[in-house]
Amino acid sequence: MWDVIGLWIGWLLMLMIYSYPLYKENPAFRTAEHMFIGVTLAISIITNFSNVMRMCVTPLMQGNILMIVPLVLGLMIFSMLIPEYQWVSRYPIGLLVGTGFGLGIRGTIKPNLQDAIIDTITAPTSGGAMAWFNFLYVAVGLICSIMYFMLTFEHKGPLQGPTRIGRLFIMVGLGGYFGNTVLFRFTMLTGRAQFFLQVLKLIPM
Amino acid sequence: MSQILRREAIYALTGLVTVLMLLEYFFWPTAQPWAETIRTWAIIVFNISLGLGAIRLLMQQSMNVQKRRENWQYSAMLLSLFVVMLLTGFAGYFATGLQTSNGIYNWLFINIYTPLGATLYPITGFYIFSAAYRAFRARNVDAALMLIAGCFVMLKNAPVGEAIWIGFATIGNWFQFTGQIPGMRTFSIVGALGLIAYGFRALMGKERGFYAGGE
Repeated sequence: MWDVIGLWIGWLLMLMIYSYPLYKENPAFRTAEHMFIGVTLAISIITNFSNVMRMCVTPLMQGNILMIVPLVLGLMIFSMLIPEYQWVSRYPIGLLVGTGFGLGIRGTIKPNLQDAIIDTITAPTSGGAMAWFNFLYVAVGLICSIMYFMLTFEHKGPLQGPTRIGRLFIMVGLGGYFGNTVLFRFTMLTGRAQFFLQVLKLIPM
Repeated sequence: MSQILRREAIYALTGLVTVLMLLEYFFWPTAQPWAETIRTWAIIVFNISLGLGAIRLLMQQSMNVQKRRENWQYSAMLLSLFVVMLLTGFAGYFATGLQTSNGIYNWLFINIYTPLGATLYPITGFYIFSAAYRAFRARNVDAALMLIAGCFVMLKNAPVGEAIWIGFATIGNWFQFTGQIPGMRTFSIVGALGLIAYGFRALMGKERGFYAGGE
């Protein structure tokens, strides 16, 4: 009984959300939107609370005294609510930013720089003419595309040709990427259309 | 002293943590336990910091209801659903250690959160078509190349493409796995260089926008 009611509520909420493309901001859309925010916020708080309990409070209770540090740092962030002590919240932000930059930079150097360059300059050992064509296409394309991003020089004279070609390579890349994006969104939309018809029993569940 | 506590000590903390993360990965693997501890601390602080966003949002919504501002009914709905979800979730968590063990929480999760979550993102599908129409117009060589690559990739992925002509799959595959590599790899390299430059600027204390107050 409750499962069936739930299914219809989900169906109705979906219609309320999809009223937006037709009628822009309207009461049905705003109701569903606010319901989603309220529910999501509560779920996030409970999930984060259980994470803090598991990772920090439980070890602290078991004698890991060092775990008092993140707890205090975490509470320090709430000083942002008091204007005269706002600066205290910069310590936890500093920790988060420092960790983020450190992990971001080290996670970027190998895959995004080192591996990308090695993959580009490694000549094919098999595959024949097509493999060589692909190798040259990627190598020339990458050099020209990177030249397009050299913004310290005006794209004139000897730079004009390569940067123009680089722009074309970038357009091919963007076209492929955009094609994938369009299809991905359409697939998700198809999934919702399927759910719509399933609830109405027009297609099997 | 106050100046040191309010500014220099914070930049020093950010710099030390960044340097520790880099040293551990590139030069000093034995520092792994320290770096791991800092990472755990950062995850805990991140989890706690969500509370700040929640407090600000709830304060704003409560004020809307209290002062009967325009459309306060939506805020009231948000708050009531939030309270129900929070109480039932905590009831389940404290009873069994798992919030989903509460029936009401579970019902709300499955029948409100899941369909809304699955519906909100695909709404962009409606707009991507008009975006595609504007982007895929062959007004010049650049746009024509984009159109050709996009169409081949779409026809390769959609079942109808192969039904029309078997060659769409082969050509689409080439565009997807080779054709778009130079462009995408360029973005990846340029983005990485930008991130590194920004990281070092932050390390030097030249980027401060992300600190509260931004001084």
